[in-house]
Amino acid sequence: MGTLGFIGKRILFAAFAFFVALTFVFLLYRAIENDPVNVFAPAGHHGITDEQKEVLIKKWGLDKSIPEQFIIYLSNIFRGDLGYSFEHGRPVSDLILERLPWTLLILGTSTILSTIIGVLIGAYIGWRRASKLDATFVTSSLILNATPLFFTGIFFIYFLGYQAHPEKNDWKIPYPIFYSLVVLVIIFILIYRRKGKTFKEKMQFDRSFSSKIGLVVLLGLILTLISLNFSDGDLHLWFPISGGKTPGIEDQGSIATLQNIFHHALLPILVLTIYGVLAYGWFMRGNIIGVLTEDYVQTAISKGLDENEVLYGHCMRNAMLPVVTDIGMSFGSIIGGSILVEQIFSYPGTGDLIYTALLNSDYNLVQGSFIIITALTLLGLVIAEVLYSVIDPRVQRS
Amino acid sequence: MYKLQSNKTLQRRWKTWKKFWTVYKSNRLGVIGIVILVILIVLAITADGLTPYGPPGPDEINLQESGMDPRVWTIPIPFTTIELGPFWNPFSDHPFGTTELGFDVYTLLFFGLRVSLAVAFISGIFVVLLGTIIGVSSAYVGGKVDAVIMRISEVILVIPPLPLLLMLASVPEIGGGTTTWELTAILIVAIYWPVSARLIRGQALSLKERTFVLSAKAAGASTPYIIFKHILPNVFPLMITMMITAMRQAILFEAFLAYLGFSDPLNWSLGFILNTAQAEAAFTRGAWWLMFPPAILIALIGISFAFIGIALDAIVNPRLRKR
Repeated sequence: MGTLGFIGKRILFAAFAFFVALTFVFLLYRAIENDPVNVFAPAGHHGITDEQKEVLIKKWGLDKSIPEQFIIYLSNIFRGDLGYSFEHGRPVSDLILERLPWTLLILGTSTILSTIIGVLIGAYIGWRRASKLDATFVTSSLILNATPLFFTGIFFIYFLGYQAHPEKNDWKIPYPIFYSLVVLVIIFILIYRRKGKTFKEKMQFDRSFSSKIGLVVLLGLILTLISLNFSDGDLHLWFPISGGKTPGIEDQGSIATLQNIFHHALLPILVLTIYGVLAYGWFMRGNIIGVLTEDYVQTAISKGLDENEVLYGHCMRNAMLPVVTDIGMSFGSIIGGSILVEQIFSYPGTGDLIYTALLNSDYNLVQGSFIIITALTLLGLVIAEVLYSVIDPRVQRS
Repeated sequence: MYKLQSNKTLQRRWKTWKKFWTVYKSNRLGVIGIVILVILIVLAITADGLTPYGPPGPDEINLQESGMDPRVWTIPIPFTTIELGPFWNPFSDHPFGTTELGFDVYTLLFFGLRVSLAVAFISGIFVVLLGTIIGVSSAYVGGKVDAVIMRISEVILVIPPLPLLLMLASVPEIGGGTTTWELTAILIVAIYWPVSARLIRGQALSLKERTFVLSAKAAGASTPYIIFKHILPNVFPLMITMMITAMRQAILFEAFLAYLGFSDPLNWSLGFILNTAQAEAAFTRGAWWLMFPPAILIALIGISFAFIGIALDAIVNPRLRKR
């Protein structure tokens, strides 16, 4: 079976899973519920008129038998009509489309960041397995993995949002000091990683090394200059604790709006990224340890190649392959995590939408959001599997 | 049917356990995990003796709505005659402070621990039982049944679990309006069984082709005999590690549901304390004692399960032990 056959098979499976999810949602709210009219066109409670109710009953066939309803439901969904939200007084698809960019902003950014950082960190730690660094990583990732995501979020809100609020406690650091600290830490790590046992040996002059340090210092200076240009020179350790942007910020121009949106998105992204980095780092560490025993790696090491070249040139290429599918597979749990994060930070994404809809018994909206979320997850899964089958054709046979 | 075991079998079994414990003891993380877990279980069981107040029952819930709580009424408030202040802090008569409506957090923590652990244990055990039954039988029956079961489990795995859990918990006809703790456990089993079923099916399939099973078959052993005598004992270590993983996940799923408010209002779990804190805006009013203790307890339970899981992994896969 060729690549095309494999891809077709996976797409068929995704379509089947989507159909099962649709059926499940349908059955959940119509077969279990005695009176579907009460669920999808409730009288009075949500302030809809009798005429609207009649229209809805006719459109979704709520007074017909279950099989008939199912056909009407499917045809409506595939035409892109997900129903009408009473709580918001608007079509569900409009609402979701309006909120989707917010979710994609925090989910996309955190997924990209955590993949890159997690793969690099995991590779390095897998290379130096059974060291102190490895033990620290393993213990801390276990502890964080057991901590619910919402607690980490609340923790950040408490210390970086509430405690550090300008009215309560104006924690700020001047930008030059902040960046020089960062530069110092990076230089320290660079020196620590050099060969040699004593400090003197590590400090030996080397042109490529000193150029590296020069580059870091230059970067710090440039960042300081840029940041001084933008603000009054102080880095506030304060983050807004709710919302996607300050209301009315659009009046201050597009740059201020972008900055404001970024400021609001920073903490949610941070929380999601921490968990993502740990997950991918853990996964990558295992892969690297598995790859290290392979012959070609042993050959590369015995050839006398540089450590970095073996790790990033030989090991990582193969160890990275399963990460691609892992990203696709974990799409569902990432979306679930976004519900929590959005609820904690009152972030105006789809997760917040689905949660408030559940609280308000706005079942049209619940049904619509769930269908969209499932569709997105399946799409991510199929893309990841197709990519993986192209990169590594061995998987098609299993 | 209960069969009396001879002294020799018991001795052999005891020896196996001793050997197991010796290997387990050598893993420091595992010992830490099991110590934490035992302490937490003891605290949960003896909750009644540890606090002067009872669990939040139906009477208190009614009183809560009217804004009064007898358990706080009975306590003399020093130097003041004011009515119940919101959020007593931990430096008052209550070692862990109170909620806004006067629930003693110290009491809530122990009873919450009980509910959370109960959900974790019950759902962990049933996930593995269901997974073993489905996995082993599907490996043995094979053919179309196997294909159908695997397709179903694959679909359940692919659908995002947390939104699915939320949707199930929110249907009013399931559980009659409130998500009791038993219902939470059932829901967790319903969405998590495919993980264990697939794992155990894989193991059973590979065991089926091993020589000792084939020779037992050649000697004329019946299928039930092979399953109970050869397959299950060999799947057992995997079942235990799977159970620990499932319990760890269940704690997080339960906390997730309870934090979002889908929880038993009569049996407060640790997550529900956090939900109360969120509902009362405890953090933005400085009442940190409502947030940190339950969250730290949830994390402790999870950590102890994770540590035990690592130690068991090292025993099940001896390859890992040398690392």
